[in-house]
Amino acid sequence: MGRSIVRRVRLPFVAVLAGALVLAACGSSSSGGGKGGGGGNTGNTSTTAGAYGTLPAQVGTPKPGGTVSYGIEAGSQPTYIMPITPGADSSVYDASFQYLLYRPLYWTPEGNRAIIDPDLSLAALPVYSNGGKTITINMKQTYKWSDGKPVDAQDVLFWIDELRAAVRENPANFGNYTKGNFPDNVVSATAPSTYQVVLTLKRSYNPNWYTDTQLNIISPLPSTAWNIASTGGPHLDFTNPANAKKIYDYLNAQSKKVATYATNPLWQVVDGPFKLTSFSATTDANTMVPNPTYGGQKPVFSTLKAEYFASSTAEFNAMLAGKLSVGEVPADDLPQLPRLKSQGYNVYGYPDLGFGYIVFNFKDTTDNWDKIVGQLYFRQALAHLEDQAAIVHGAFHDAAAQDYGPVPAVPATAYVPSNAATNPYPFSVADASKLLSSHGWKVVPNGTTTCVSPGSGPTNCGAGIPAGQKISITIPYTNDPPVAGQETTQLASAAKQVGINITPVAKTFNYIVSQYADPSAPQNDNKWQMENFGGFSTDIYPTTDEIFNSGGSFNQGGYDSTEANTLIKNSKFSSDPNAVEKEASYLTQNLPALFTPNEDRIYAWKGVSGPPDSFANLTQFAFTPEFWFVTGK
Amino acid sequence: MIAYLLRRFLSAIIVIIGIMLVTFTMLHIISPSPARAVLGIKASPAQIAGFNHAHGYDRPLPQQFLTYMNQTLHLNFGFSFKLNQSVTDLFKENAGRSALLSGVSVTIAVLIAVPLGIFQAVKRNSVADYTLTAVSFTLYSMPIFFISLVLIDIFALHLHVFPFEASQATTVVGVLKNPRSMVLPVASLVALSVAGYSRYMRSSALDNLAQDYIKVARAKGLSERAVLWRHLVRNSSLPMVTLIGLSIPDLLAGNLITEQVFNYPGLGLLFFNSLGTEDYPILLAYTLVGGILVVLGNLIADIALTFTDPRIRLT
Amino acid sequence: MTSLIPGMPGHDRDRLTALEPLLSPPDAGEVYEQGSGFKITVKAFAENRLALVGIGIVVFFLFFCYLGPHVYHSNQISGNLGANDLRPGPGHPLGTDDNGFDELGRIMKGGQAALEIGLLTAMIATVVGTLWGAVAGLVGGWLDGLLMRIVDVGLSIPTLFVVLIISARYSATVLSLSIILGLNAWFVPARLVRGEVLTLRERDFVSAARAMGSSQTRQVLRHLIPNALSVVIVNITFQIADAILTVAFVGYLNFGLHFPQVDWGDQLSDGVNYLGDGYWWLIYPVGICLILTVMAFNFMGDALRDAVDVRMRKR
Repeated sequence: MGRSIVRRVRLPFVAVLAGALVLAACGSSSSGGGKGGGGGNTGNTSTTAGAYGTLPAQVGTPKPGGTVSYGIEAGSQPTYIMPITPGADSSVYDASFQYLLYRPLYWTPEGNRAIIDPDLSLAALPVYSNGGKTITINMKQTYKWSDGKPVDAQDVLFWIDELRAAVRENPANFGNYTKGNFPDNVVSATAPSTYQVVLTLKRSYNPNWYTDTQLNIISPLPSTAWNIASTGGPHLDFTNPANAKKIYDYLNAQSKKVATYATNPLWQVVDGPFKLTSFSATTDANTMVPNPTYGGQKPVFSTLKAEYFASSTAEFNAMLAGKLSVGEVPADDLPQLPRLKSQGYNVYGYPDLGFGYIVFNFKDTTDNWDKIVGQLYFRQALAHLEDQAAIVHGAFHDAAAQDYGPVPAVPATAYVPSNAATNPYPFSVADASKLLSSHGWKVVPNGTTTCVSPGSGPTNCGAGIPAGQKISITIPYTNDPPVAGQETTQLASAAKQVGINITPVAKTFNYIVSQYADPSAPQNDNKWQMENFGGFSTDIYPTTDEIFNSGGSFNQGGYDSTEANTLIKNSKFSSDPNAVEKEASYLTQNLPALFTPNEDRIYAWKGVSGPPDSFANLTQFAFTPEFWFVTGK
Repeated sequence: MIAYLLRRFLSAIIVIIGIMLVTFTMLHIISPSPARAVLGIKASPAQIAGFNHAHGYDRPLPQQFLTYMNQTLHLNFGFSFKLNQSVTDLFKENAGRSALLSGVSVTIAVLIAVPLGIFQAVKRNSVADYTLTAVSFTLYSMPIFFISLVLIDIFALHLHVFPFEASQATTVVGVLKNPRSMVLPVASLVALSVAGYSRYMRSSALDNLAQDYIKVARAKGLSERAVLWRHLVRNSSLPMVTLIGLSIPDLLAGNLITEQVFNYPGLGLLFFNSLGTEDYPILLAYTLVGGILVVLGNLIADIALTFTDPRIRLT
Repeated sequence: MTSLIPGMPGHDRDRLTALEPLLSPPDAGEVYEQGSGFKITVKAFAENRLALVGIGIVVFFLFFCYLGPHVYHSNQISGNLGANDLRPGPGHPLGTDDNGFDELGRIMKGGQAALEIGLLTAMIATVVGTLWGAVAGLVGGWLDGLLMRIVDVGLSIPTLFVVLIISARYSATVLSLSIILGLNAWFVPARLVRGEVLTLRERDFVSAARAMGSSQTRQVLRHLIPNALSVVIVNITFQIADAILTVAFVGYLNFGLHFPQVDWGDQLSDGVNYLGDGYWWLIYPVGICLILTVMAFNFMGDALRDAVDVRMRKR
């Protein structure tokens, strides 16, 4: 496409932004582990290793008034307002929109650090007891709904009951729902006092996992204003499941009426920093004004305006013309940054937590591929053929960080394993060649490498690989954005030099993830050997549960390792605070996939200023404009 | 005549049903359900199943097609998943802007092509004729997006005379208030069409110039201008109607690319964006609308043709 | 009617040309000299200077694309991502592309695929279309109606839609691209040939053949096809030009050849991504090559058409 419409290499993970670094629980977690970490913002212009550009310090003092404008693009518009978002409407953009009005219980990130921000959360960090089966949440008492009622434990219970009703009706009613996880794993939720919630779980989990991936989706709802099943109807007791269902159906139906978002009195009951004053039914463009009853930092400017753009190019063009306060810079347009800077924009980029990867298909049995790719030395050889430095420079214009495993060194987190700092398989055609030839392959550069020493000994090709076996790989890659093609082409070019024949094939993103996926399309298992659709954004507790464990819903390639399964299980269920590190360390070394560089999310802003963290968090898909003020420059 | 129209109408209905059948089948063969595209990669199989059941994607294919036909007959074009609006509303929103772009472009193209073609015919094989032919052919041989992008490169990025995207106004009136931003998109579409139209006009004018009635008119002593205006233009122009009718599909496609390149929020850009998000209702509706326009265009063209030469038997 | 080139209405003239035989009632008297295809071609080129220019350009590009790589060596196997998007300079007269390949060498390689796809598409479209149209015109009756309705449906579905749907499922190789484009392009030759057949079968020599008892098949093979050949020849040339343009169009939508293959269309469409970044060497050189080649075929086709028209209309 002339201009990409979907810009993300990775599809942003639905709404799950929260996570916790549970400093209390077992003590030994450190912040900013690994080389290149420690992205502390010390007030002055801060340089974080791996960041693109620098964060400016706050300029001047907050002055009231002014308008802050940002862009929303076609296909990434907020389309659902009630904080139990169906899968079809779930996206980071919809979540950002909701969070301006309705704050979640736990807020992530803190600046560009993927941890829970205690200041912006509505409760203190959860306390685990009773062998991890009881969770006590003490809410802050400073937040109120705009109708005067406090944000309290009942509001949390209300949300939980409504969520139960929603997913019981249809699992697709909540995008973040996986059967067996929240709320299924909660036996009971009670409120022993006004501001205290106690959850009892079916079994114990790793507290970091539970806080960062389960509790982070909680979003309190106004239990005394929204517990109705018809407009102007009586307030119902939501603890009764039949009532909860009626209430959910009503709220859901109201939330489908996009044209009424700004006028429906339901949505005027907010606990966030803004309230909605207008909302366009056709473009979802909207305007908000400050909410004077917000319990946190109240915005000092007068209007927050979301403007609609038919494509990301249109939005970028508007930025080039100086017409937006803040917006994302698409990776393709990086060469045009000087023009943007000449308009007075500040530019900053940082990767969000996640990884890029080229998937190995372990289930393709044609031509003995599964036997070949099952050999670790072969995967290592391929890893040596990937030139991450060239990819970062040539494909990402230096706006990316190298990534060797599911938890990369950048962005810095507490879970970075020790082998994330240096590439365990650096780019070297010679090393790849040596690996192959020392395992019974006759390497023919620019020709066809064949197996000459079949067998399962240490110098043989491996069990099930016959003599004369060639290596022919088809790699479907997403045609948009172009970096996937460049990564795949680079791999193919390098592979040719050791006689491995790679054929890249361009497909649409949707096609690849739906048709070339072992969990959902096993009938196609014999049609692809590797694939490149981007990668994943993870929770702030970056376990690869569901991605690399056997039977995981997104284990596209059918990777099956007993050791990995145990480590992933530990990340989820054991009480070891280093479980994720161990899991990531193993996966970095065992190569369930080829890991590719982590793209920087780059944002530009002008005419506004504020604390550096309130801009740094843009890179983590968070949006907290309430800290900003208009400088007019 | 009535019989002819009735037969054509019936034939048109069959063609339209054929279009619907083909596009419906193609879409579903390629991707049986947009569930994965809509719900995202992290959707669980249970959620996919729930979505499919709620929207009828798990029914047998013939049944789905009948439902689709039934809905279309009731003018219910469905609901866009990604944009959270009814397709009818979306089309109403965007059709006006697209029609404006195409309509203005075609009008300007015709106004240029007719005199240009006649001029070339009258001055056949002169230097001017050859030059204009060469320019025509150059434009004719360019990919659509290339013309647009070259215009942007020269006039927007280097000379800064025009903006690099079309008007983003939400109403047709709003667009009209910002004519400068529409110059380049209109110019691209005009450049594409003028080449073909003027070549045809030239050819048609040449035919007529060789006709006896022109010789008679000249012999009568009419001034060249009167000859040209009263006889030539009138007789050469009706075929233009035919040509315009037949170029509807090209207009649609040209419009689509131009809207995409210039970010003009019309039907074409809507279709383009829907391809990426697998928004089936919009894709199906757009193809249907396009098909109907094409069939209508053909009908108008054929009727115009009969007026050109009453000897044609309409079959 | 969808011509292969979106936004290029000129080729609808082919359709009108098809109707023109119907404009004048079948002539039962004089039989025109049916020059052989070769004679027509030679005559066309002798009379029309632009056609000679066209041939010259095509010959030049054949040398450039097929012999060029033997003269100018560049590494087209292993890219160099670290040295991508370099400006023209020492070692790379036209710079490097997105993956680090030498651009000049890439253009040579791309031309091979462009020409091959153009030729292959034209052949597929012509063979299928000619047979379809001949059968329809010859057999007549309800079969004719059915075959032509299918052609109508094909003409009414936007090429763009078909290509994008198919591109999601199948990958692009020279062969698959030619087949898909060819199957989208056979509708026009089908109509043309049917029109020719309808006219020709009323002519004396066919009646004579029938009177002598020759079978339908013989009629088709011996008499009709060779006489319809002139129209087909004209159409082939335009088909080649259209195909090359459509490949560019389709590449713009990301369904084109990718590494290790390459063709001009993709190069151009990949290059225009960088218009805003000022990487002109990825855009203009390839664009000029493509436009010149398409123009060359259009010149030749135009000259051939003039020659055929002259024969038919005694102008």
